[in-house]
Amino acid sequence: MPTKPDSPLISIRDLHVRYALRSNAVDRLLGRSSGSVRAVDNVSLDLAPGEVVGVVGESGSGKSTLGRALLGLVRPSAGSIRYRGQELTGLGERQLRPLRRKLQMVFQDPHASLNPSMTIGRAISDALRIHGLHGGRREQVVAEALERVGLAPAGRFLPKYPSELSGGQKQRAVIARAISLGPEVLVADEPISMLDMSVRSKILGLLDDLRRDLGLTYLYITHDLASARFFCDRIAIMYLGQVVEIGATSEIFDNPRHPYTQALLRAVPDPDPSRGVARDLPRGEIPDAAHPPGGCPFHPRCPKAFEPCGWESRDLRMILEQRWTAVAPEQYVRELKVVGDPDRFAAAESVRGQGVVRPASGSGQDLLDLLDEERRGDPDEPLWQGVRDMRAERDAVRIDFAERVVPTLRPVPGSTVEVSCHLHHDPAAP
Amino acid sequence: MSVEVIEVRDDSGPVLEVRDLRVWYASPKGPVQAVDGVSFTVRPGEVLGLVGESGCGKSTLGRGVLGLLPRGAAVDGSLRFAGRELLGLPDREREKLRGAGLGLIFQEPMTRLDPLMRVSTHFDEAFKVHEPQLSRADRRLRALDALRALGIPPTRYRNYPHEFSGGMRQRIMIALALALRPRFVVADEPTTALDVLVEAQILRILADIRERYAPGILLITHNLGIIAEACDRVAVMYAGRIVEQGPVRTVFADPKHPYTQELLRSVISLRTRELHSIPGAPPDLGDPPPGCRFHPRCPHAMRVCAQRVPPTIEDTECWLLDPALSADARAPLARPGVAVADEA
Repeated sequence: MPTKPDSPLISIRDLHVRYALRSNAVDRLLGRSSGSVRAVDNVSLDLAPGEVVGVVGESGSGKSTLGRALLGLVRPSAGSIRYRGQELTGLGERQLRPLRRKLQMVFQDPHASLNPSMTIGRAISDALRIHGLHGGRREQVVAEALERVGLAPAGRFLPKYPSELSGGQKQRAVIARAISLGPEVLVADEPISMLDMSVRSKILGLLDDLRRDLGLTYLYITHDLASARFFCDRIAIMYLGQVVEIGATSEIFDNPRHPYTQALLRAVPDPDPSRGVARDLPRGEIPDAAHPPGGCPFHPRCPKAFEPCGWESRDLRMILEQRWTAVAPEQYVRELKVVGDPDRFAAAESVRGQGVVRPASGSGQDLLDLLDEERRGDPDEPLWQGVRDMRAERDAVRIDFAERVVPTLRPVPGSTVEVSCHLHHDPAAP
Repeated sequence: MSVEVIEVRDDSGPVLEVRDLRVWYASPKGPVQAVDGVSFTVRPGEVLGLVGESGCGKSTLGRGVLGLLPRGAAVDGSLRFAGRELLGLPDREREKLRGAGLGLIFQEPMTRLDPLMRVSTHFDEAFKVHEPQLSRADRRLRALDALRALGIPPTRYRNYPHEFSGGMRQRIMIALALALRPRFVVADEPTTALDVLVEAQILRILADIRERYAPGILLITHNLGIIAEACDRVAVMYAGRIVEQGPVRTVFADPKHPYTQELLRSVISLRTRELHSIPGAPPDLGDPPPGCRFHPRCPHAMRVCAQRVPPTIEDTECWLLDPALSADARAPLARPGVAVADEA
């Protein structure tokens, strides 16, 4: 299907992918669902012809699911993926197959990507056969692909089994198989992460050469900001299924706007001994995607979070646990009696900006005193900006939280960047 | 964080002194010399980074130091811990030293923590073996102290390993190793399986631990960025030998061995504008090249490099640093070109 020269090769719009959570047999019999995880949560992304777009995030960010959805390997729950204008979501395997030639994938683990009982020649040849290429021409295409990725002379590598190749050679073979089909788009999911340092630059160099020589378009999925900076034209930073910042590579690195992007950049170990260990890092880890934080998903960890970011009762648990790593053991035992299992805080949902937390023993005032003491001790803790008022009731503490505004991805004027953060967009604006 | 400060015991000499250590493995093709004549020292409170590519022998070296090599591995040389020779000690004696004297932090915490045991039980068992005189209450106190120092709240003490995230599990592993207050710790790729922010958190914790507990640490990694951020000195390993060692700042600013130079150039960092790689691949340790093991890949290889093992000059094992070489020995080495296919 012909397309206008300036139209994107791939166009992803409002994509959602949900994974159902494992439910037990009784629930399944009764038709009860145990909820779902939003692996990809409302992502829109374009790939222009010949462009390399990086999707950067930590494990659990949804970056791999996004790549798999693009190839039809997971079924989106909503949204659209178009390739040259043709809608891919909802297509069956039979309809997808001819398109798969054009959309290929390279995975992280080259060893797992190759059948150990199949020679390299057979592995590539089979892929071609499945896609309808027969006869002597097939052998020629296989040889060309191998030599194109540096496995030359091809005759030497055709009869080899994966176990006879080094990690880098295996990844080259996987890339050869992908390009033998003549794809337009290559989804490369951490293609160099499992390789040795000195081999990484060779494989990244090969991907870069193929882009130039074959005009390939890439979706480069990685957690490694350094290789993304070198390889990508544009970069999308993902956190808990959402794109939190996207823009031209140079702008993302020279002027990172989202606090998460800033943190990632600070955390990259740099071979410069004068830099020292990164100190001002976000606390904690990516939270459970089955129960994502309210408001901005990054707010509990964000060093710059403030009033509207989505503070709620369950964030108190984190504050108390933090406190208990610092206080003396006897004090911890005393306070634990009042607070009880802090997991109860996680369950205490905030309704319309109000949270009610009950002490395990003692009065509401006892619990309030403890919270007040923590607040006085650490007034700069971002959470307190989101707390309007705390009142003791007879057997509970009632907390008024600031109004939660969910940030959305919006353009930053005068730049190529879109960012989803209240620091850059007035939360009161429409 | 409130952590009991433990005074450094016996600050006079190195806590670990390794001299001419050799380790062989048996393989179907004959003996493989994984570590070949390695010497280094680690002082109390010092972090020595051991860096190299997979198969260079760095993990074997770490295990050799702890006496954790598989049966069938042969070890030779000298290994002195706090002045005491470890090689030749009966297994039971070394067993006693492990944990309390020599600690280990592994790469994959999930495979090292018992999924059926609560965190508290892990600590109890470690203390029962190594410090049987501790009362139950003391064991708990010491464990909570170690966990607190790693940022694990006491509320999680009775949880099972699967209830923690990957980063928390690695913190628990480190707390377990440190609760016994070892004087020397081997940390084998302690952050490799972790995400970048968690990795940075763990590196920060390791830096804090060094200030508080002052153990000597051998940090094994393939990541030069981690060496730069977390280590005082670095030893660069290639094909079973340490080819260069020295203070991190000196080695990174002015690497003397061509392998160190090439390795530093080939790292993809945020400042990378052009890719660089080392031609060829590391040798088979069952049949290493004669002379300098790096000579087939070295951009400066001379005739002598293929013939004789280089001397160690300024902590660097390289003929380039020998001023006494004849003009003939210095002549460039004629080598066949390396095909791309043989590289990766």
